[in-house]
Amino acid sequence: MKASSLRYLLKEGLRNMWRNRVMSFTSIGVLTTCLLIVGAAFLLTVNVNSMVKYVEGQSEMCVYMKEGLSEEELSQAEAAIKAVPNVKEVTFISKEEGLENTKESFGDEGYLLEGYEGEDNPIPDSFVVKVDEIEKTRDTQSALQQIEGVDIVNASGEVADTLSYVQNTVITLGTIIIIALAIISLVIISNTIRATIFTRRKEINIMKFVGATNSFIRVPFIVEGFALGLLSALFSFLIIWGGYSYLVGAFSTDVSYWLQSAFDSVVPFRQVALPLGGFFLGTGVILGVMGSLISIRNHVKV
Amino acid sequence: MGELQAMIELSHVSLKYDRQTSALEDVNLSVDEGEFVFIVGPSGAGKSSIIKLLLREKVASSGIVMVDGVNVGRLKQRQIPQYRRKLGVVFQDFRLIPNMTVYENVAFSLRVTDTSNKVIRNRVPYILNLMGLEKKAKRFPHEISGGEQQRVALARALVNDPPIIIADEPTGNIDPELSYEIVELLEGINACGTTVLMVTHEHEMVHHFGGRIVTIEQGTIARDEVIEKGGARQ
Ligand SMILES: Nc1ncnc2c1ncn2[C@@H]1O[C@H](COP(=O)(O)OP(=O)(O)O)[C@@H](O)[C@H]1O
Ligand SMILES: [Mg+2]
Repeated sequence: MKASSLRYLLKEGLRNMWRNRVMSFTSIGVLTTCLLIVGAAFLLTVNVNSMVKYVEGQSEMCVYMKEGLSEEELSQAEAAIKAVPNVKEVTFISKEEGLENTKESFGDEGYLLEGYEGEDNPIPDSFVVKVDEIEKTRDTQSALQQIEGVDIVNASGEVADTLSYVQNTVITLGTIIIIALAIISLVIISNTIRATIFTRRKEINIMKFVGATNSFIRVPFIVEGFALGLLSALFSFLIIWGGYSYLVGAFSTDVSYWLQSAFDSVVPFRQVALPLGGFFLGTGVILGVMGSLISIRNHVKV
Repeated sequence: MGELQAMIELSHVSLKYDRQTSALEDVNLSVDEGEFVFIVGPSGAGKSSIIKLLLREKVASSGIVMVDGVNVGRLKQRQIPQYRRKLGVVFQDFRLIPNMTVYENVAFSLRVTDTSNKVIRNRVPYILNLMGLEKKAKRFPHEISGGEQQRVALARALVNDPPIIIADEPTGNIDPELSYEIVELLEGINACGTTVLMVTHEHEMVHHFGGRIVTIEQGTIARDEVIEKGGARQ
């Protein structure tokens, strides 16, 4: 095929998009909506993951040791703690450091603990343990409890449970939404284009009788599907960019403290812009072109 | 020099759309290069069926259809577009592409053959002039009359310079005065050496123009005769 013919078919595809602008508009609307919902599900998943990571980073277990352990017993216990699966980081807090920390946390009332230094120090030796995966907190906790010389293990098990439940739910729901929408949008797009094809079937027939090859007839439709996908991807990207930035902005100006801290774990848009944009572009174009091909499949044969 | 080959040759051709009814039954027809042939007959006789066979819209149930040396029934799917470009076709319902201008409709015939823009820009206005359509180039089909639309269809059929023009009731949807004009245009094309096959059921018009007339009745050729211009049998 000559370059001039290719140029003609390209222009023809774009012109057809304008000639059938009502259908084009509908297709873009449907595709954009689908991409937006999938994009929102993606952003939600990414943020929940990030929030879980953030909380995981913050959450620590405190392993309090029994009184009167020797230096050697303590280092044996430390080695045992490090050997427990899921343990990421272990920090030793001596009785003295523990007392200092407690005093500090009492603030102005810190003087109440004056005089408890040395022999009378009620704070036991302890280890602060950070874990890899928060959902395994309970298993880790009971493993730590078994270690020789360990008195009490403090961990916020409920937070861990809730968090991992939320995470799993969001990931499952997100996956279902994404798969379902991919199928739904493909069906809608091909039906939308099929409707235009139906009105254009006559036109295709005429072209066949003038001696147009199948590819000559197909190329404009492919161009049209491609352009519809491209425009939908662009619109979706702009809308989700605006919407997300607005939400994040609303978050960051909120005065309440815990929202502020949750904001720390919100993923900034520029971090997801590339994968999201790539996903929109790829999905939009693939769905657009596939929709076109599916819908002309039955009509090209004469 | 070999023996002169017929442009269109149907031998023992039958066509069944379904098992019971035969649209065509053992049809034999030979049209030489440069001939002008009218095909007449009542509605449902099988006239359009012959056209469908020539266009390879249908394949004969039995018999052989030869056009310009090509066995039409044996064409592979991918050879069909190439083959159809040999035939300029005009239908009763014009079959113009509604969202293309007159100019683009005519140019389309050339575009499918990968013709360069330069040739298109020369050839299309020339043909439109020939058909008296130079002022309508930018109009859309729904903006011009039926007679004009049929002339556009004719221009589109001609623009490729095909060896054969096939017209299926080209005057069926236009005013009688304009009908004669269309047939005169076809005669002019035929005078330049193009083979023309025109289907019609308007006996009066056929007798006005005269020439070779093939009558189809109930799927078979009832008569194949030559009539003098004005109506008398030769
Ligand atoms: N697509 C079709 N399916 C079934 N029967 C058809 C079809 N097209 C035409 N026929 C039948 O074949 C016969 C010949 O039709 P046609 O060639 O269109 O006649 P004409 O053009 O002379 O009016 C008619 O009986 C018609 O009903
Ligand atoms: Mg007919």
